[in-house]
Amino acid sequence: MIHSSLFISNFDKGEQIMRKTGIRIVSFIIIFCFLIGYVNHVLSVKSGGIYRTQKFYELEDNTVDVLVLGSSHAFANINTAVLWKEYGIASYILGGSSQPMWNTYFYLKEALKTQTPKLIVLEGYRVVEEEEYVMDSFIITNTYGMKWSRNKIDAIRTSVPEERQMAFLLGYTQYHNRYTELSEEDFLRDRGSKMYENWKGSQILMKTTPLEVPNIGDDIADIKLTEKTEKYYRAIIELAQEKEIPIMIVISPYGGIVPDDQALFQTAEKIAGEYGVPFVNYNDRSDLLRINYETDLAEESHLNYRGGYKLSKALGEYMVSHYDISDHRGETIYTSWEDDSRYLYALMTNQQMKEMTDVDEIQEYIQEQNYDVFLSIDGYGSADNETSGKFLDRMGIVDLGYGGGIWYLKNGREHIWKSGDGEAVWFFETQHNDFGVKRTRLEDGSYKNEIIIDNQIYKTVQNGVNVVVFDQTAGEVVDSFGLDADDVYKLKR
Amino acid sequence: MKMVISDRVAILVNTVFDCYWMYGSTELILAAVGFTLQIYCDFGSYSLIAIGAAKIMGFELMENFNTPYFARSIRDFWGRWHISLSTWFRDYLYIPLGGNRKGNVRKAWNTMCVFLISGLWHGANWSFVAWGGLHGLYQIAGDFLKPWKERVIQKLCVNTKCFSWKLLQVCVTFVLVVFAWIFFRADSIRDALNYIRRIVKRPTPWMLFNGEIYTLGLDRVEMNVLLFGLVLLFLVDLVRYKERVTIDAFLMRQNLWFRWFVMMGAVIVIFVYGKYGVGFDPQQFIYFQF
Repeated sequence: MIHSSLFISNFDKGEQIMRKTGIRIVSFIIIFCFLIGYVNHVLSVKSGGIYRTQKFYELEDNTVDVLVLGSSHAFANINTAVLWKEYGIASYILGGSSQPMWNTYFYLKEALKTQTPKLIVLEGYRVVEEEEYVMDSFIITNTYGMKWSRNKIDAIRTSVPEERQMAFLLGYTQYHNRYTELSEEDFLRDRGSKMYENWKGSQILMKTTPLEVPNIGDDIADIKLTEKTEKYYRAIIELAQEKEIPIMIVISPYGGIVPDDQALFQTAEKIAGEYGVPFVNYNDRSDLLRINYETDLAEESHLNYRGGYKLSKALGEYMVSHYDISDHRGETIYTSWEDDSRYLYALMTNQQMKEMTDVDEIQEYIQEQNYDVFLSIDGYGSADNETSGKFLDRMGIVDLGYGGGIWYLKNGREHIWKSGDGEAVWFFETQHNDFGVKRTRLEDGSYKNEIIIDNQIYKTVQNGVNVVVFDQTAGEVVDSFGLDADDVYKLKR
Repeated sequence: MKMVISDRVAILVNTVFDCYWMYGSTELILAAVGFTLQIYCDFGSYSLIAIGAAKIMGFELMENFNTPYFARSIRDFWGRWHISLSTWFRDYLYIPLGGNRKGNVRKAWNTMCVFLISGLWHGANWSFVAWGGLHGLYQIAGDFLKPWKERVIQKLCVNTKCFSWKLLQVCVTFVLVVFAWIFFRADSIRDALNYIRRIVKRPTPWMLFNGEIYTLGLDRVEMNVLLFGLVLLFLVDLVRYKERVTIDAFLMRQNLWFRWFVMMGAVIVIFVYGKYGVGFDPQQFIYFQF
């Protein structure tokens, strides 16, 4: 009897110890996995096609009507905001820099798991790919955004020579040493930028490089695509047709086109013809788009926002007239497309101001666009000059005190705050940005004005009028310029 | 302490506290910890000068700081920080008010009174009162939560005799003290609350990796000197904590070569790395104003 109760008590004790040990092991594993997962998340590469793919997974199922695939020619040249605002087309650009056809194929396979688009648009520039394997950095950016799946493994196996595949499959080994380059985007949601909140994949370019109209001649003999490129080019078309989704292939115009590129496009067009798939090479039709090579290109390879607008408008028109694509404007489920469009249009509007050089025009534009304005009169700057006087007067700044000051105007008109003659500090913040102004007295009795936005001090001229223009829609400093008292109040940027 | 550490870290602290609305969590936490070290080195050295000067004249003054940041509770902290004032408040305010002799509620009231008045003693600003109030609150909460804490420790079979438990106590106390110093250093309660709100709302952990912390007034070399100074300070305090003797008593026990090495080394470090001379705006002792 004693023996048996001892046995039971020892058994209970043993069970208790086992349970305790079990809880400890499970707790350790949960905490450890959480920590490793977070470290992995922070260190992982987020640029290029990676974030574009991750954002794609966040979309509601079956909301994308037009799925655009391809390389930077797709996401730099095709503007989802224009497609939305002009035609109500809900599009998404799923691509990555220098994306070869095989990666595009696996992106498409992955995308069709959650979306059933009414049209697939393949920006087919990368049929020019000559290599069997692209650079490591492009392999990473074109595969690491995919969730773990058969498609991801196949994409890596297709992209990497066999002997190096394991290193790429174990992604952490590729990016663990990024600890020296960690930045805001590694820690914050949507990479800490307003741009990515409702992102639909477009990455429009703002700069302008004047180029000559390319002349590649008319009589160009076809060149065969490489075996691997052709295989996956065909596979993309076949997959779309197997799923009964219309597909069209587009080549957007670019300044650096050479005869060999055109020869490859001709071959690609013939292959598309075999499947009865429309193929539109806008390099042949750039006059139809009214592309101005002086003003519409960012550099040799890509259109800028002006060129992209023209291409996207033409594409949108083609889509709505040839395919059954609905106008989703005003539908609640598509609010994020509306928000993305508003953001991208704000960027384009802001860029126009950055390119202006006339002070009167700038002043009118500020008020027309309802920009927020921080303005300071520094050093011996004053309203005595015609340019500065007119500018300040039109901005409603008439009560100039001795020694200048700082003003904050909401919507370009509404005077919210002014410093007065003496020392002053004032600041406020919005969800994404910090704003502050500081006026401090120096030892010689003069005053130093500082306009600080997101920890950056803006000052263009030491003597004169400094203006910082901020757009709350895009959450960016649109322009920072000065009217220089040392140079007859000329505009300085 | 004053010339190498306090005046150096003050540059970073002033940069951030003066324009805290420009900065995010990393800079703000760094500045709060910086002020914690600044005020210790500043006031600690101020007290040591007084003790040394008195000693030269034949007076023996009481020790004013005893490794306060190694304290394992807020009560312990106040036994190690500004001991002369704490003792005065204990003897001339806390005990006459009834001390802990009239029940727990009265004890809590007395504690809060002492700390609020201690805050007010530092200046006619509500932020000082808030700082004192926080310390009072810490102690009252510590007293009331003690039975609950002991039950949890017992239930979870936490070993309270080991190093890790003591380290946890030191760390928790340090964090509470740093938090309270924000109120002490800020210009107003509103600024302190905004400062804390920004720590929560504006995370900037990337500052630790991209080198931006070197833009807060101390470049890489200056930051390294500061870290070197802090390591020395830590070692000196560790000797005080472990050996339970002041550093001068500890040195007197050592061989001559070691005493000379430490003393000459300290003087040379001050000569080379001390914040003084042309182009430097010397910092007034913080406690000079109180």
